[in-house]
Amino acid sequence: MYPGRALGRTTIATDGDEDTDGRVVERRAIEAVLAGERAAFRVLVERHHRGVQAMMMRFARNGADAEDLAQSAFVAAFDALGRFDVEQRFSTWLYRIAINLAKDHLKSKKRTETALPDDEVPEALFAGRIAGTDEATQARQRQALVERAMSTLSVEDREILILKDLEELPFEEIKALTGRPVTALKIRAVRARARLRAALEKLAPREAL
Amino acid sequence: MSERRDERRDGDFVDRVMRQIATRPLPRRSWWRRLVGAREVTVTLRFRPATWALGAAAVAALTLVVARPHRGATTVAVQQPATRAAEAPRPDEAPLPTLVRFALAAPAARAVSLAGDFNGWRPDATPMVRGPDGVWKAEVPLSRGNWSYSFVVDGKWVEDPLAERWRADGFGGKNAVVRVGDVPAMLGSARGG
Repeated sequence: MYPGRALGRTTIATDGDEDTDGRVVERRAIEAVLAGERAAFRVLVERHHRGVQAMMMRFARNGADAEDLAQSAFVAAFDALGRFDVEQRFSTWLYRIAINLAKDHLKSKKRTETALPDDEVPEALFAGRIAGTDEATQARQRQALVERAMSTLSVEDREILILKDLEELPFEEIKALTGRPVTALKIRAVRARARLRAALEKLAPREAL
Repeated sequence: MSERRDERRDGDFVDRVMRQIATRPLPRRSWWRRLVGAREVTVTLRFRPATWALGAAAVAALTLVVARPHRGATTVAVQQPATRAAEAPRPDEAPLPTLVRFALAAPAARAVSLAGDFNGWRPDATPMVRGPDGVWKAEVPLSRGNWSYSFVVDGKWVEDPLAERWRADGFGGKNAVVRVGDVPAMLGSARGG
């Protein structure tokens, strides 16, 4: 199971669904920070840290990494606040920073970690399902399998699968987060799903997926 | 119970971030963000040619209403006891603050405010009021001296297009400056002319 679930779904405000008061509060906080009131940044952290942490859980494979990434994202946002355009939505800007950090993190991990050879896949992962245990166990195993398969994909593939299929964000929002055109995102999503399916089949050929 | 634990964990996270932030240099609005803001303002003001006659009339009306001369079109010193104009202020006497009227023609704007040395550059401190002619106004009592300021139009920093003085803002940009201090002289010259 993705630990991110425990923190609740990531909520990235889409057009029109964020309360105007919230935006005003954020704008004031940003202006106050830029005017020298460092403590005003707390407002922004309090409003968004759960969502950012949940999103980072999707990218990182353990809670400690996710928390470090979320923390770094807020610090990076603080450092770059002078370049933030107040006409933009703060949450979109913040998530963009966080996602870029997460991708860098994954890339650096990919370089330092070599994937486990296939024969090291824990046997228990499949044994339980074949024996037909309860649904919760099966779901957990399936999830672990998906995670393993995901870790073999490129960072860009994982990004689109996380944002589109796990976070279930509309393409327009993913466009705002990644800066890529919708058409390119749709193509990438289709290809990433195909590659994920292939990876799953390789990991669990006995299971019809 | 677990909810309380969650809250505590949340608080820990926020505190950790804030502790880290305490060691970082304060972010400052980048000079190009100001420049971008200023350029976007030109877009706001692009409606002015369409309402050129109206705008000119508004400025003329404003001048008449104020009935005070001013060197900049947008900042007008309006209030200082008239008798003080004739007499030289005694050095031991604290000078009365001058009520300075700031005005900006921005008919298409939704909200305009004024930020400057006098209000800690907080954009929400001094909202301006829109007149029916699309001219936004605010009056601020200022003591003698040079005061930097900027308008905030719909959240964007906008330099006063008609400022009479400028001062570098230290970030590669510039701020408009209004000078308060020679009001009596101005009033005097007004009467003379």
